Order: sequence, then structure tokens, then C-alpha cells
Amino acid sequence: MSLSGLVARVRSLWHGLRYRGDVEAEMTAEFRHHLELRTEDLIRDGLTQEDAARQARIEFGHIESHKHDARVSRGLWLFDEVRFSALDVKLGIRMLLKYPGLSVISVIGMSVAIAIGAGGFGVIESTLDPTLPLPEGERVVSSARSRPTVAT
Amino acid sequence: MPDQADLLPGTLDLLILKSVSLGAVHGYGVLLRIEQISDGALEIQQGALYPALYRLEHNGLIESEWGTSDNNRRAKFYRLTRAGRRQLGDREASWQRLVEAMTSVLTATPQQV
Repeated sequence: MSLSGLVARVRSLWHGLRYRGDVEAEMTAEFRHHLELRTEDLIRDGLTQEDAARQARIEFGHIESHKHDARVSRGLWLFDEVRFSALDVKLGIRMLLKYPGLSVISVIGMSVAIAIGAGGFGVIESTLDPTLPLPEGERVVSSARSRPTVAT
Repeated sequence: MPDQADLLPGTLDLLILKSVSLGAVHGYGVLLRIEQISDGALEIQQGALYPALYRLEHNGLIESEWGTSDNNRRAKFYRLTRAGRRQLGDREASWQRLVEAMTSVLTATPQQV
């Protein structure tokens, strides 16, 4: 990829994230404009207003899936998927408080699961990759016996 | 009605670049241009045009600006950038090479092999 292509992508992504609402509104306006023009053409071909509008929508295809593809084209889709929503957090806390019994059970369940997981990992590690019971034993990579000859 | 040709993968971008290179145009206009010039032989699924347009814009090959269309409506007009013009030239040349190679294979006679 050329440098100018990379710069263009970063700029486009920055614009898309910074002015997210505008980008969506522009896309909606652009699709609407397209449908209006197509409807007018179909009316000129002899269709009634209602039939023309329906035909234009059919020809255009599924608007939401085109919008999704458009977000993928702009590289915005991934950000949507991982977007951290403050509303989600608020809702999560509210649900935890509303059902305290369930919350306690989940916490206990998770602690047990994590303990079992970590314990299992510890056992596997000490079996497969044991370390010597020495200070910094994990740094020892080989050991050898040597018998120095003592000059007599 | 003329026979419709199936679009080969990758040709939509080339068609859009060429169509936009003929002068600033809005999305619907891109479709009309392609249909008109190909005499109806190439028809693009309408909604599928926009993801392709946005991809080309995202890659800096075309740029857009809101303006007023013939019927006094606000419309988004696309035009080719310098990088887009260069890309169009490259893709046209590569398309021509493909067509020539395909033609020579398809018109080959037993004497040639």
C-alpha cells in the first residue's frame, strides 16, 4: 500500500470516528436521494407513484445490510463491535443490584471457576516445566557434574 | 433488451473509477452512466454501489462533496483524486493486458500449438 493510500485511510477513519453521527446521517440522506431519483425515473417510465417507490426500494436491496457493508468499507465496523458503551455499564450495575442473590452466586461461581483454572494450570506447569527449588530456579537451563582434578 | 453481462470480481471498482473520471457525479448518476455507456449490458445492483464508493473514498481514490443536483436537491458528488487517476490508468492497462491475453487464447487455432 502506498503512503498516500495509508494517509487517506487514517484520515477517513479519523473523520468517521470523530463525526460518527454525521457520517450515518449523510449515508441515510444519500440513500434517500438515490431512491427518490430512481422513483422519479420509474414514474417517467409509466409506473404509479406507489408502485415506483416500491420498485425502487426492491431494486435498491436491503438498506441496513448496505449500510453495514458501507461501515465495513470505511473501517468503522470493527470499532462499532468493540465500542465500550457507558449505558451498558450502567445497565449492568443496575441488574447486579436488582438481583443480589444472582450476583452473589455469579461471583462465587466465577471465583471457583478461576481457582480451578489457575490451580489446574499450576499443576500442569509444575509437571511439564518443573523448576529447581533454588532462588531463581527457573533460570537454570542445564546442570552438569564436574570433577576438578586436583594437582598433587 | 440487450444481453446482460456478469461482472467479473474486481471490475466494479474499475467501472466506478472510470465513470467518476468523466466528471463529478452522484451515486445514482454513476449507475446511470455505466448503464448508458454499456448500452444496458452492465447493470449494477443499486445498493451495492455505495459500499464500493465508500471503499474507494476511504482509500483516497475518489473524494466527495455535497452540492445541489439538477433537480435542486442536496446530493453528494464524487470526483477522482490524483491517486485515483493514477490507479485508473494502472487498472485500465492491466485490464487491457488481460483482454489481449484472453483474446489470443480464445482465438487460438490448432496450427498455433
